[in-house]
Amino acid sequence: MSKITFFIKKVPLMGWVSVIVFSSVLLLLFLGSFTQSAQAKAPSICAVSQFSVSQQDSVSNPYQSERALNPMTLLIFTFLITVFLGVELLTKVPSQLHTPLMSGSNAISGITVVGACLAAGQGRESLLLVLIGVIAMICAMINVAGGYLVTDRMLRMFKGKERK
Amino acid sequence: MNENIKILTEIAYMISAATFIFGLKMMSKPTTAIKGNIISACGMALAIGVTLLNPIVKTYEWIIIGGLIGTIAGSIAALKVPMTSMPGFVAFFNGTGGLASMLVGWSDFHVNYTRSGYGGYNLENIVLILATYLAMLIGGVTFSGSMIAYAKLEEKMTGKPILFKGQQVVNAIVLGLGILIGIIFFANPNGSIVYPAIILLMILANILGILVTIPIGGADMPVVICLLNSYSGMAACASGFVLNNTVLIVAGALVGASGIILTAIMCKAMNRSLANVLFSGFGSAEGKISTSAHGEVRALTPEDAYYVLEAARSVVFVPGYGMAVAQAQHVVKELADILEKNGADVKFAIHPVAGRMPGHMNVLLAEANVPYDKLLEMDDVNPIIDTVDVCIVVGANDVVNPAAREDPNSSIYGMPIINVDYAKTCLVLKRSLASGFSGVDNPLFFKENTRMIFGDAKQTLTGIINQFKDAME
Repeated sequence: MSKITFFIKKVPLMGWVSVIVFSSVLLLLFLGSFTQSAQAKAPSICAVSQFSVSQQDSVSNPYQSERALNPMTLLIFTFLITVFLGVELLTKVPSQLHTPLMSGSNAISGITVVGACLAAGQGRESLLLVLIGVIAMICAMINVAGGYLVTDRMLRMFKGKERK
Repeated sequence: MNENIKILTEIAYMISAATFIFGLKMMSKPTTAIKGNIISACGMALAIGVTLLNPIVKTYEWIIIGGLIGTIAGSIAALKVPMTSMPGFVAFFNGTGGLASMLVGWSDFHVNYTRSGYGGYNLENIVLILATYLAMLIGGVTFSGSMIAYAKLEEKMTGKPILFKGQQVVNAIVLGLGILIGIIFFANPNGSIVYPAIILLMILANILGILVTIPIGGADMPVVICLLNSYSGMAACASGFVLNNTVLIVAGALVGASGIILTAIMCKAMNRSLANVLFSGFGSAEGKISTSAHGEVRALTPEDAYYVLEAARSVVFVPGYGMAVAQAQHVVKELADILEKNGADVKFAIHPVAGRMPGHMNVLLAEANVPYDKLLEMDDVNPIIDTVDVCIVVGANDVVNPAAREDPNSSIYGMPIINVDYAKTCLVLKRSLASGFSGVDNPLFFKENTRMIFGDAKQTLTGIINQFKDAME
């Protein structure tokens, strides 16, 4: 038990380790699945619209296809870099601004509104999908609108000098 | 898809990701933070705007209906919420963020499962399946966990830890079932039992969120809110991998990182590990050695306190959750002004875990117009505390408990505290001698240089202010 608590004590460190392990497992899986056909790629809501360019290109140019980066590895890479950037950036926030930081980051996490738009805007073919989309839309917009407004309201209270 | 729109979308997402990063960078100073927040909001508007151009979006009515309801509800809540209820408010917002991510994961699963089916195991599909699973799991845990935290903070349910026999076993079973569903989903994403299993997964995730939050009590809330904040970011990040969407991944990872940092800061300020906070049900565990402090209590009336304060040249206020409960921040500020007029040097010392969320006290004092250069952090105030004439403890208890320093048997031993007992005189404003959240008696109350003023903090302070006003006339 003490060993477990010891591990969890090192949250930030363990965070990095798990991120690295996670991504390297994915990489291994990727390498292992080279032999499998990549034809049966399931189109996700958005996958159709993005990052399908490189695959089309790879067909036309065999030399390019050898060098082409898998878009997914790029996304994982983006994720890794952002986590490190986030930690660097946010350790600099002074403790007096921690509450606005939390409400502000709440607003940013409302970025799922992008996904909610895509879900809610797919038309009326499926009532369930519309329902899910609308609820997701409501929740995400509560986050976005409420988060930014309350952060602004709070930050305007912070005064450097005595108000006269 | 029109190539131009695609490139436009990508560039717009890049810009909005950059505004989020820049906005958070500007958060590091109070002077630039307002602008940073606005810049970040502009980036959000841009991201939403270009998403509406996506050809997948065929109808706008549902987006508009949902968006309007959410915007209006969020705006009203944001403008109405009192600063004292900020922790509950933030907890609630974490929850809605988690729910949105869970639903985005579900909708994508629904489309994939019912229309085209999942493809073979290449990297895209492995990540897609894993991310869909995680978005629903983390999103569900965040939603229900945050709602419980919200209920506890707003006192809609008991703030005390709720523990029952075999709690850990139940948690383990629920988590195990969740993992099992993950394996089923991964093994055959198009199998006929997958849809009901995914529905069950979302239910289990919500149950798990409730189970892990109910054993956590009041003063541990700062840690839990930070952790849930981090989860809401991670859920957004997972849904970003589901949608192959860069801006979601960047924004989610930033929020996740911010939550983790705050969690680590809070844990450090309590000298406890995250595991201890999450699993122990602090303060309710039976058989804990709690030291009892005895001695003579020296009580003062507000009139006596006036004479002490009238002579003081330097005064430090140490606010705690009690100040928020009594809504005493404005009278604290009023008294601080009077003391300054009287020639005293007035500062405020803030412990990192004072209140129910990180920075809680700072916001309350900012609301009362206390300039932030008068607010000192624990590490800045401790070296100079023995030069202070009077320390006024307003509704703080565990964060000023000398047992953390002196008594190795105490359950809070080792926690960094503000050493108010080193000040020449220490006035403690408190309702009674009751122990704080940790259940540990506070030897501070019996120290020679401590004077207790019993009663509601707001009334006591008003009493002292009236004494000053009388004396001036």
